[in-house]
Amino acid sequence: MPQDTDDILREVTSKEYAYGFTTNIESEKAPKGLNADIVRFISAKKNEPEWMLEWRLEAFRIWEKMEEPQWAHVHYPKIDYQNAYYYSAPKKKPQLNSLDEADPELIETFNKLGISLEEQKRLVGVAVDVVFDSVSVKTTFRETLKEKGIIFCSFSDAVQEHPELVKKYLGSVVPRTDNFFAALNSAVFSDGSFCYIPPGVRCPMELSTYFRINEAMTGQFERTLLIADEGAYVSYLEGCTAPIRDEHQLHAAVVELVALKDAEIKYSTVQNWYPGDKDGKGGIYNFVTKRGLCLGDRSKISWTQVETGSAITWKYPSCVLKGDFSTGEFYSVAVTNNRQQADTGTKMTHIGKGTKSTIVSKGISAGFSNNSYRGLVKIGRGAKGARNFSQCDSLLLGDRCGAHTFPYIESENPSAMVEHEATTSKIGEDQIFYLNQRGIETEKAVSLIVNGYCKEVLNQLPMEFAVEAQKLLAVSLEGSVG
Amino acid sequence: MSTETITDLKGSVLPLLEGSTWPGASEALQQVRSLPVPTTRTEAWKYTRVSKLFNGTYAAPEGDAAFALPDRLPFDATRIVFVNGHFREDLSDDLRTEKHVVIDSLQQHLSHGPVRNHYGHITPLSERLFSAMNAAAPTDGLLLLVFRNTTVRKPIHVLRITTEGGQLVQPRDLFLIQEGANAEVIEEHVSTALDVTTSLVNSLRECYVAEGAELLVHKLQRDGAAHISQENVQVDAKGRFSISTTTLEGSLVRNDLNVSLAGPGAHAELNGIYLLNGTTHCDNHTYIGHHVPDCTSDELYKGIVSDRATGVFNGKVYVKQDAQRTRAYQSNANILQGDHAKVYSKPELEIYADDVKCSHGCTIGRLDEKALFYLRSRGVSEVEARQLLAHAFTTDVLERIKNTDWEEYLTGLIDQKLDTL
Repeated sequence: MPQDTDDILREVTSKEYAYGFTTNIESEKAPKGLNADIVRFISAKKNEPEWMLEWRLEAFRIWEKMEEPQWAHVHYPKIDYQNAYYYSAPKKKPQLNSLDEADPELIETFNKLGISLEEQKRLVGVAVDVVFDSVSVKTTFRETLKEKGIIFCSFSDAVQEHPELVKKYLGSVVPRTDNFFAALNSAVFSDGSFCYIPPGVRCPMELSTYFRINEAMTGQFERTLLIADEGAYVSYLEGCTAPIRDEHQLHAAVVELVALKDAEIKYSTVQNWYPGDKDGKGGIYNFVTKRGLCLGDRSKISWTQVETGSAITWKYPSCVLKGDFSTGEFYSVAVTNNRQQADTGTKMTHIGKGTKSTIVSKGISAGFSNNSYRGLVKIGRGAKGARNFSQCDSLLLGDRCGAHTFPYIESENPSAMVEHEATTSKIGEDQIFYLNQRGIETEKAVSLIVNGYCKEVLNQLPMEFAVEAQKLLAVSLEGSVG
Repeated sequence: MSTETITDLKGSVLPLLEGSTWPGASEALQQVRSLPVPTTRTEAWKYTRVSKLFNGTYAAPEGDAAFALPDRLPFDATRIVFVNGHFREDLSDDLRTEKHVVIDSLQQHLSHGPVRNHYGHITPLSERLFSAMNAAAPTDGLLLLVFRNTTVRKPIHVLRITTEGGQLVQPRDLFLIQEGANAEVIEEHVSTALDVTTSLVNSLRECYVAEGAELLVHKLQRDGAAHISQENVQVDAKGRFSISTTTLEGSLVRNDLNVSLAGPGAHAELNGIYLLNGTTHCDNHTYIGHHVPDCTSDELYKGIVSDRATGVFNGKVYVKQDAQRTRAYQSNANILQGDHAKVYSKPELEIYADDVKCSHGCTIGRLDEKALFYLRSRGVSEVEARQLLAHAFTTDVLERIKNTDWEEYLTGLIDQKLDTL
């Protein structure tokens, strides 16, 4: 690994942001601004049934009454929600049977991203549902999954083909009233992924979605809904890159996970959206609501995230542990450099008996960035024998960055055990010295130490993601050491 | 909540705050009028509901009340007595026995230089309603002025007695510990009636610990009144400030402790014990500002929460940019017993410098079942075993108390309290 890291560091020295390019595909846009008609436009565009439109409109009415949250430890100019486009889709093309028929420019984009569908199919064996500016372009492995009874499709398709499942679970974990950004998403969500694993089925491959924001001035509003029925297992990967843009781009996604009795969901994210340039110009605003509901007894939801991108991250993948003896996990590495700001963490709400949660959060700040961990562990009155362990460490590289910890710990049950610990420190000078003395240059030494520091989290990632994540860490911190 | 209701709420205290001649009182009164009563939507008051404090009607505190004076401490100390916030010279010791030390009622020295130069200087009134309330009409309080390089020989025992309910008592202290000086203060809140739960003691204290000086404060809350207190402390280079707060009784207790480490090498130690039962609600809010390099802070709060009581801890460590080589430790441990007891803990770190070592830890749990089993297997009764373990739980905080006489006295009180939990 060290050899790799070094190569990567050298490789990227001259680069600003490898994935900074835009694709010119004629896109169909809704007019700027947000009102009930835009919501109707989006719904009509997607041929949605009446109930879906009603659901969106209600969300819009709720959103109108809400105020943008101010409590996070991030600063950004006020967003004018009326000065953005809420819908953009690649123009409808005739149905394709193979990739060859697809727009060559599109294929080119995927190639630059390094997620060539062909290669993915052949080498990794991962089914990829590519979300390209809000509309699913191509879904692979669908047939293979179908045999097992697994539904893995775009959200729009799910609305058409499996309305009963969507109706039952949509908004059941993140209700429209949950928060400002969730309400906004509920009103205007463009597309996303839908996944249902039937009872007792173990999903044979890692499911994956690549998101990509392409259209300038387009807010991207994905909606992901993942349901693991009784005794099912699924591991889901989400990875993101986005091109350079000067205008700030808003991204407000909602991810809902439902785990029924004895089911297990593992949700991994590598987020590498455009963080803005050195002076904080541009970059994505990432305001995401992710929540998993352990509905059934002995169910388990595990979040793993590696966050290196975005100008602003506002994200709290959470678990509601409702079923008795259910388990929630949160493993996170958040890296901020230059002018990036991240306010991220988790919420573990213990409701059921014997529920268990683990939180491991590693924050790394460099440059002029600010990195905050914000978490809530709540043990309800009925959560007899609940158990939580949290560990939040922060590493500081440079004297102009900030690292903050805001944990909320609430216990209302005397039989519960809650432990929280946090440390903040500088990268060890003696460790760097030691590595220097062994002939390892400083930048590489830092990379080594950082990788070791994050190991606990990186180990949770599926193999192919772990490699990518390690690369990302090195790239993100490039230039941060004296 | 409409503006009208808020005005109504403060209507119960406003008449009592008018007409004070203390410095800055009229500006403070303006602040009281404009500041809202904090609700649980106010972040700093998220877990502590104070609106009920404004439901009752309050009377001005009575200084001449008759009551039985509690026994002296079992060791030598200079006692100064405040009855319902008013200074009682007749009950206090001779306060002029030590050289280069001023121990007196603050009210009598408001126009004097050192007081004028410090009074109200480190207490912003624009954000916190209770500070403004206190500044608008302080009852009285202690002035402690220790001149340069002087060591106060005996601990100063500040006895604050609340004799009855329905009073709004607003103690206001000013401690000035000059360069190289040393002082130790024991502050004890007691009550002589059962109905004091309806009294509100809204205290405010400012402490200046100058270069190389040391101030030790032991605070004991064992009356049943509602307490809202704020302590603003500034510690200069190489100064040391240490406080232990012990809460054994109280209807609603909120202790705000703001320490600013303002000179290199300054050190602060904050310790706390809270043993809560009944419906007591105790909220300890601490803020340690590391504003310059090379400062250290160490914080340890432990509590046992029983019955329907609620324990709240919010500790914030703030490290300013350039406050390099900061060392800050913070720990909060809680034992929950009783199905309706609650603990809310929020240990925060906000750090803008890189060469730091900061950590915090927090635990909430119950007494160790294995240890209980072990004791029981040795023939110790369950009740006794629990008391033993609870006692052990508090010892590491008690051991930090540098005055062994006080530690012994306090341990006695704590053991008595543990018997009732």
